[in-house]
Amino acid sequence: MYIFSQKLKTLSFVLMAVGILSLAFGFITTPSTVEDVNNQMEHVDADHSEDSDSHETAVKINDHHDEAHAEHVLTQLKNRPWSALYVSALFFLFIALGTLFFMAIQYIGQAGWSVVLLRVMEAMSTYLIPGGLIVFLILLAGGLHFHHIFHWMDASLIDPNSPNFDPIIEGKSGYLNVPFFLLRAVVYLGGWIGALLLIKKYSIEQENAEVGNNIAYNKAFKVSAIFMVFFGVTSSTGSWDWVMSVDPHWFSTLFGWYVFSGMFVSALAMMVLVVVYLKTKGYLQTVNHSHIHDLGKFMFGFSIFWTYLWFSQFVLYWYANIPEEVTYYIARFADYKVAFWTMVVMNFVFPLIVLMDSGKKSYYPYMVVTGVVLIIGHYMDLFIMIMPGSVGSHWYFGVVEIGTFLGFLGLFIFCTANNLSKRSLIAKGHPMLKESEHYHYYNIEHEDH
Amino acid sequence: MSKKLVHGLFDDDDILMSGVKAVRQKGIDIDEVYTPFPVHGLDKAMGLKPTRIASAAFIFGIIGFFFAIWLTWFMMIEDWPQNIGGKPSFTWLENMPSFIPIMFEMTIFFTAHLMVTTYFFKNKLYPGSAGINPDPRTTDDKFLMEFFVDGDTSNLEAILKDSGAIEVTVKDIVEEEKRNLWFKLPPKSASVVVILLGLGLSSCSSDEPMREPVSVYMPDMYHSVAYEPYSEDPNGINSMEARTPVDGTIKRGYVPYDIPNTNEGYQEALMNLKSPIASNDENAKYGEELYNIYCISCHGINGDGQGKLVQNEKFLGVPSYAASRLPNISEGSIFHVITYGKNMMGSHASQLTWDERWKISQHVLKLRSQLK
Ligand code: HEC
Repeated sequence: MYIFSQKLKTLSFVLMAVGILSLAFGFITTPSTVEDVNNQMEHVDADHSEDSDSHETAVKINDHHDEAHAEHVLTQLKNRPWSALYVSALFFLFIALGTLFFMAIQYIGQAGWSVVLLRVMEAMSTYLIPGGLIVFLILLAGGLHFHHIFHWMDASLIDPNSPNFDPIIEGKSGYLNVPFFLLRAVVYLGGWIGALLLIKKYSIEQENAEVGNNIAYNKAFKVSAIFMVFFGVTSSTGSWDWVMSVDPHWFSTLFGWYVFSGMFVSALAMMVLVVVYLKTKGYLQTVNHSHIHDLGKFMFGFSIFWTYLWFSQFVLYWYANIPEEVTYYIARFADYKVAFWTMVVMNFVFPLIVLMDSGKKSYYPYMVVTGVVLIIGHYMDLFIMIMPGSVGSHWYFGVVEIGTFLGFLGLFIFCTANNLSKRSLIAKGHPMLKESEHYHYYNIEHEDH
Repeated sequence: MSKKLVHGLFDDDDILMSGVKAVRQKGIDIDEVYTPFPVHGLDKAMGLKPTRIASAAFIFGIIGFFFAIWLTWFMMIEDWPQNIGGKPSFTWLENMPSFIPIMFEMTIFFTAHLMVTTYFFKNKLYPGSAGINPDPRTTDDKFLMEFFVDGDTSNLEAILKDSGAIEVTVKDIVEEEKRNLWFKLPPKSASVVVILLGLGLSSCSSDEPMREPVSVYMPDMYHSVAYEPYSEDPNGINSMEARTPVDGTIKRGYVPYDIPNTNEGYQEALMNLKSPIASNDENAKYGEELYNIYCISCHGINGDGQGKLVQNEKFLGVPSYAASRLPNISEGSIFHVITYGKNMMGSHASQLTWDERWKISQHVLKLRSQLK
């Protein structure tokens, strides 16, 4: 039985408090009127003219700052704390969802090796409930026009008589409209959480069943299989809705898998961190180096898969150079170049080099470092998917971004640890528990890390 | 005392494993174990060193990776610069994204093939090598431990029997006597001849159409239900599937060019055709960029006729734009030549739009003024 230590509890609360405070800070420091924006920009220009010593350029730039532009900048600045919140919320939701996917795979594949990790997966994916609720509220806030991350929600864009009329968005309005959008979110979250609760329920039933009675296990198998079909569709449509529609003119057919591969790698990386943490606290005695090694193999494979999808998209755009497609990368190269390439290095080059060696993947500290880098890398990936569409060039990585990330980390820790402490750490009664306890990959020799 | 060959036969892999451990515990080295399937942990129990095939694979991959870099550089940049789809040619780095698939494939190709080859040679499994399996039963359901022993074997025999061997045999090794092979391959030379003969025969295809395959899977994939783009179509105009555009129409963005591709047309363009676009820095800059993609492989970056293809002697007869070499050209004639081509130079009308061609003409004139 795991005991949620007071120390960890405090830590998680502190993190959540940091998140809330930094979010408040973000909202307070956001300019609320066009005048504020103009003042700010003049300020910037003043700085600029001082060091360039040319008054003329400053005047020119000021001319450029006409009313419409300032208003546009204001929208982007107002989006910033919301976007920071949204990216972090979505990122941790994806971690929980990726974990649920992985758990369902274990049931469908009737995998033996991973049984000792099942309860950890159950606890991690339980974050779907609070995380899903928060994401839903953010989407709802968008629907009520509190923020403009999804700028297609602006009704004037689909009004043929409005000067803002946008025929492309109008053409998509059968799918991209607020009621249907929110309805879909409810369906996705409802389906995922439903599957999660059922699998957890059967897992407990199996624990309490007599030896040889595997009815609950078989039910979990069935639920997992149905969930997988549901997930196959909803993970794609979900990523269109929640990520791709931030750039509503643009679309990509492989986007769903791209988002999925990133989410899956982050989920595995987080799983490694949770498992190693529990082991250092003396729990999960039956988890051995071979289990971590397997998670490492998945991390390696799916990092390459992520790169494959990333590159498949990138190289075709680069080659064909079609205006409506390349805008996506132009926006990213114009203002996010360094972050963009850093992210590619962290998510591809780094795991390629670090995880290639077979033996190393079974060392705990090694895997922890790798996991942390991959989590940050995939957070940045999501950041660069959302931000260009919502705040454009007015991004920076500051208090709000880091703060909200930490806040959700706190919530995730609390939710996971709290769940772990409620039930036994090992899925007792699982028909393949013995196999998992004896799991051993042939070339792992070392006893200690 | 002569060397002896000891064989211990087992009928179960678990018993074999404990046998191996028992023998090794007594400090006796096992020379080989033959099994019908891989027995996990056997290599460790026998005290074999871990395989280094992984490091070999890594090195093969690196070789393939660099080979691909060299290959793409030599083929696409150095030897015969290619302009595909108007991508910036002539530096490897700028074209690198399109070479990544090749680098990837070559890495995998080298790794896989060289690794398999290494594995086969290391295990003496190349064509013509004699099989060394001493007992055919080990390809079915038996396991065999093999020892070459100097001196007394009774101790070893006892251990093998104790640990569950169903059969223990001891044989003297006579130096000249070849290992008793359970199958005899033809001599090496014969097998080489057979392989060459096979390859040779397979290349003798006849002009007759191939026999119909016995069964066709998914015939729709072989025989298109729809008419193919350039096939005959009884319903089409002129019985062809591909149609010519409606008379009097042009494609979007296309600007017609009326002067014909004749000597008179050339003269006409030379004398009377004037550029309709502004001659300014912006247009010249754009023209230079396009020139550097489409023209420098032949004409060279200065327009001196010394492009890479000329230097590599792949393409000859490219003139310098210098007035001493081409006294009679004007922006009109340059436009005309880009549009229609001239002798060995092909038409670029399908790759460059009307205004792009004008911009390039501007750049050519600029190069011409700089050439002596
Ligand atoms: C494949 C090699 C090749 C390429 C690519 C090529 N040229 Fe040429 N070009 C030639 C050759 C060969 C001639 C000489 C033709 C002749 O007079 O027989 C020539 C001649 C010319 C002339 C002189 C024509 C005249 O009136 O005598 C001009 C101008 C010219 N090229 C411009 C261009 C421009 C601009 C481009 C790029 C759009 C280009 N060429 C691309 C091979 C090439």
